[in-house]
Amino acid sequence: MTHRSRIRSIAAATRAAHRPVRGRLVTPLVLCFAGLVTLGCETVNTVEREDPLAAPVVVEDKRITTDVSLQMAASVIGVIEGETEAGFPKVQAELYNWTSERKRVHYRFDWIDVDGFVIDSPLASWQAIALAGKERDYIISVAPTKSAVDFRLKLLEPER
Amino acid sequence: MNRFTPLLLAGCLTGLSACQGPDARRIDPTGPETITTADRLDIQDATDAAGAMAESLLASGILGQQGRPSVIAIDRYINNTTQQIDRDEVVKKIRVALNKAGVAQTLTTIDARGETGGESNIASKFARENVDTQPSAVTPEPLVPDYALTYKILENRVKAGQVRQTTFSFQMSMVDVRTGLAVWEEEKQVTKIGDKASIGW
Repeated sequence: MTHRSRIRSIAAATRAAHRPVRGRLVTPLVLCFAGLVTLGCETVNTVEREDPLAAPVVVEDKRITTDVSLQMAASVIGVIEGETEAGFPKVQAELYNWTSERKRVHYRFDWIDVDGFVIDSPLASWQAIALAGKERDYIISVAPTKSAVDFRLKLLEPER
Repeated sequence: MNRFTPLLLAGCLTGLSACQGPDARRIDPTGPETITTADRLDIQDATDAAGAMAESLLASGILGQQGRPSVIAIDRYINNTTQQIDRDEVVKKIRVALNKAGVAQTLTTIDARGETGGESNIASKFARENVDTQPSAVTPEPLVPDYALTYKILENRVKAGQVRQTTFSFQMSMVDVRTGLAVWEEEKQVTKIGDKASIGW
């Protein structure tokens, strides 16, 4: 066997040896990748009354969106308002996570009096909420005083 | 070789500065930049608990029903955690919120040893002792609390490998001192999971 033919036979043997190994490796790699992708997904299935009996007072809101990814993670579907038994205004915002991943969002309600001044209160602090993929959830705030007439809801995406 | 010396120095300095933590600065204590620990009661945990409790109290509608702010005696505080937690870390925020809302005023009860918030139902005792049976023209209106607030913090710790989970349960009850009935009760739980503290939450 010449030197050249020996090299050729070695190359062919190497190719033959590698072919099944590659096949054996690709399948688990694909499975691992698929597993990783599905691990990040955690979506919610929901069931509710087809025609809800509740008749909420819907707030006509104005929105300023500066963070598109936050808008996907926690989109405000709507805001309703009401009063507690003691006469304190309260609002409830419905959030929806359009993504298929669990998302954490920070939010804060500020309440404003009839003169347009923000009402300082220990209740005005940033809160956190976690939404699973495709989940709807609610955030509620009770006004710190009965003199509150307006509110502002702020949403913020965590830095991490 | 001399040409590389400044580059090496610059590289070392960059490496050293990367190892240092962020510079100290002031942050919003109610904001999301505060440090989160895995097993301690953080400032944000106390704020969350106080906010939830105060909102629940305001929503209940039991305060300010008499056309005047209700008088609440901060009666009993039980700390069943492994940490020293000042009761005002949570209670003070609730007091401020209720006071600003104009629905309640608070007083702190004093037990026989002169300590605040005794273990017995001091509020009822205080009320009984302060009602004057023969009021005169100069006798001021006795300060009788409407409600007594009792407050308890519990702690639950579990561990899975290196990951620790700590739950703080804040339990509050508002008792009508005339009847002894609990007219409002609330529980707020704060659960944290992780293996080390982090900045932000």
